[in-house]
Amino acid sequence: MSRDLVVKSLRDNRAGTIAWGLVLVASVALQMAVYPTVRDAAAGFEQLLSSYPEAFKAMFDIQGTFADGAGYVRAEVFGLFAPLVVLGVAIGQASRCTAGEERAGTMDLLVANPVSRREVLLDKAFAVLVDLVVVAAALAAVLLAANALVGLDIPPVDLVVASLLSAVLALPFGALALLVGALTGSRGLAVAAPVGAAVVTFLVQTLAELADWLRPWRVLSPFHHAGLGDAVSGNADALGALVLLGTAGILLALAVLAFERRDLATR
Amino acid sequence: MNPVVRTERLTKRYGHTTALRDLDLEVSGGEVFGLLGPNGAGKTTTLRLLVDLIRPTSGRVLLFGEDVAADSVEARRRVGYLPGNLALYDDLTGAKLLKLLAGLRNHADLTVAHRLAERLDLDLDRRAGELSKGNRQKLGVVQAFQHQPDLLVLDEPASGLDPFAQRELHAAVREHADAGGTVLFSSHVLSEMEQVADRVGILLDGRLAVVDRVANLKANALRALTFTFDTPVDAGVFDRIPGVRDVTVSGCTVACRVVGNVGELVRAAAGLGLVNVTSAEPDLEDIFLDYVEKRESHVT
Repeated sequence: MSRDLVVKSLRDNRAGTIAWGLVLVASVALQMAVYPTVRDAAAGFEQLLSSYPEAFKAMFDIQGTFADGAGYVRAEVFGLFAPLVVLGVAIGQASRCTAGEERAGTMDLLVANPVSRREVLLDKAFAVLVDLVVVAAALAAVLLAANALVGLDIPPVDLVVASLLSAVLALPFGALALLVGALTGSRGLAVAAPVGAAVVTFLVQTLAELADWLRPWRVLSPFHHAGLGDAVSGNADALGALVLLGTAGILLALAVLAFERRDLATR
Repeated sequence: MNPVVRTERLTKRYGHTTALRDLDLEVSGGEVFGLLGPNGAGKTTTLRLLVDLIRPTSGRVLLFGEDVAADSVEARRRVGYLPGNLALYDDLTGAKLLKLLAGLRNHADLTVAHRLAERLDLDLDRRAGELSKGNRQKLGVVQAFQHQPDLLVLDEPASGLDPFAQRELHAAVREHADAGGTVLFSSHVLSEMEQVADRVGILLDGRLAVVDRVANLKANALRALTFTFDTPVDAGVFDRIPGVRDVTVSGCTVACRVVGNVGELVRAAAGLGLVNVTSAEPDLEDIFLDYVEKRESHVT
């Protein structure tokens, strides 16, 4: 591993990661700030929630009640918002630092040095991993603070685990961005492919709650394996996390193979 | 001794277009080799193949006697490369970029870089994004030279440089070769070849049309001669002399071009009341255009 390359990649990613992180922290802080109001009006909310269509509730992982902190956090934070942000970080940074750098032409400058393509790609993938851990840590920090301040009554370890799992959820999507970027050198495709995969697999996971015929297909959805909502409730799925890590590892290995073999594009 | 650069039937195809066809090239240690050709002739393709940015469709590249496909990392340790379409990290200053690239080579010594930057009058404290095209190119040149590589692969190194910087670049290239280093550079500017290259290869449409010393190329080149006589003369006299072509007569003046020995032509002219003769030194431009013409007449 080249320290210079990792540091350079982290520095290139920094502005984007900070921006995504701030959006996440600020939004979650706001959501948590209104929690006491929601809790106090729980009865009214429950009436409102029961009138929501099932599809809507499934999509946002609304489990019937906002009266307890776990129900609120899994719906408001981990239902859609946190996955959206971590996927944004993973896909955005992974595509930018590989296909994006190739399109910009600076990849020539790097690869002309005595470093292997494998090392360049792995160093950059490592930098994206660091970004994800930072964002997950920020998410955990704001949730822990909220837990203490507004009394979510969630065991802190569950909040930390769910936050880290959101980063794990993002790994296969980031690795897919690396793979498509390595195969094509196109940043557009490196973004579009994992975004498309995320939309489809998210819908499969959420709509399976409504349509029984979809249920067997859930095993193909990273959102199913991440089980972020259940992790908030103390039922983290270790096997699911391993499936995500394994998938990301395979995609990353394929990305290395593709990048080692391909002609680099000229500007 | 192994040549520093050797390509064997090196071919690169993109779909149905052949960017480079069966290139056999050898460049020895201490030599400055110029790759000359119009845009799209395959110069950049050749140089990118050498540093393993792209892979041959067939054939192979040997640097320092070793197949690049086997271990390009080891080969690149001894190579300095200036991309033709130079892109820099706009947010980094020159000094930081040089440090980053030196770090990737475990080459901590930046004195060569700083000395060359000074020679080229390049300010290393400014961000690349703020630099003019010429200054960006200077930075590209400095990063290629900075670790004193055994082989310099420079794609259009003089592009965008002012005349002063070009002169310094050419001097640095010569010094590099005089110290035993090898340089392979490309250009479509012919005067540059005359100034620095020991040997020149002319690439046309992906094929190497000719490789020779600059002096030999010039000796075999068409030389333009203009004769002035005391009375009007008949063009036919000149047309019959071997090697002479493009004869034009206007009054007492005859202009023509000749390949190789001009003795017979001058003797014939002397018998016709010759008053004056002027001869232009052939430059590479003529040589180059000759090959283009020959090739085109061959095709049609």
